[in-house]
Amino acid sequence: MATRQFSEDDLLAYVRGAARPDLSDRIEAAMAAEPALKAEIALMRGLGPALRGEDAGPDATAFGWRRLEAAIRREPSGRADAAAPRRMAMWRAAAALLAVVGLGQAVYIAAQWTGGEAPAYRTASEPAARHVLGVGFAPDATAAAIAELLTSVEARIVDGPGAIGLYRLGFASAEARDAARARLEASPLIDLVADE
Amino acid sequence: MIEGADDPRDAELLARVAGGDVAAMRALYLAHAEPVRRFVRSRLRDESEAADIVHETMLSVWRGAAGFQGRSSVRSWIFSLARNKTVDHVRKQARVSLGEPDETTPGDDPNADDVIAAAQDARRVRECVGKLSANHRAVVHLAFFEELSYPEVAAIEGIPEGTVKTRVFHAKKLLMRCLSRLGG
Repeated sequence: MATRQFSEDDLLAYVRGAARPDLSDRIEAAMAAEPALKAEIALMRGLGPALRGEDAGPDATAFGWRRLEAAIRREPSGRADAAAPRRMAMWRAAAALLAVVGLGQAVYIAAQWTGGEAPAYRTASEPAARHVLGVGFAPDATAAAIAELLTSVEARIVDGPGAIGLYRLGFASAEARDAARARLEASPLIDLVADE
Repeated sequence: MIEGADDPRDAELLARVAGGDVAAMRALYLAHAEPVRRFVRSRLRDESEAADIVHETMLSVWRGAAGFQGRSSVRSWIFSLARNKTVDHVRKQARVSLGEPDETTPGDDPNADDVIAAAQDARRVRECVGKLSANHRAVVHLAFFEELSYPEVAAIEGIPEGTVKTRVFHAKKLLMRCLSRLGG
């Protein structure tokens, strides 16, 4: 490093093969005359290959991914901070839509009954329609995990998914619904819990 | 908004991550976790602590993907996150000052032939790099292993470009002296 006739940018460009031909020629001429510059270039060329030998290995990377995957699956609502408001707006719209659909269905069923005839059919949601919650499941929630969760809160799916993926959960009583709400809201399997 | 990213695939993956795509996050992790780990290790000698910082960095990528403004490449952004977390970690541990002054160790000129011979020996080069300060190791790693430009290194390290070049200059000087001793 006896000479500084070349800048750090010049030397880096040369080592990376990105120097202009005239600059390359000047550096090579200088290297022939100056062992210190030749040594400096040799060092710069040797650093990359040397540091490449420090890989942790595929096992460490695979383990690291499993650890990260577990963490991000625990916090589905934490992703994409800037998108969260948009997503919440979508879910609110979904909840509103669900409420409208539910109201329409109730009106339809009431109309059938007030007609003095036995209903031609009973919708699956009808028995549970008085104690329901709307929920959106996390995209990565498995069927088995969902089934286990619903069993634990004594809920069952009575309708859905709607056009935007919202389900209605039916409960035996208002108390059961209210008791389940907090557990559903805390579950990583659930993106949203909405009242109807 | 993904603008100004160097690698179109990285930008595409990050956009998908912003939408909550776990598969895209996995691809991004597999592409960058190991380089980030090596970078963190260039500043931090403990492997398990480095693994924790890689984890925290990539978790921040997952959480903050939608907020990426595209003012740098995706890779530079990830390295910046890692650098900041490393600095925070070290400050909390209060074991090393990342603001330590650059070493200036005047001494005999190294023997060029010894340096040229030793520079071919990866083990010797790593041994000498390991003796550098954290600041010097970081710029050497980013410039010569990650092959980032000096402006990119400056952005990641949060220092002026001129300081990067000064650190590179001094790091090379120290490495040549170290290699000269080992090669002699």
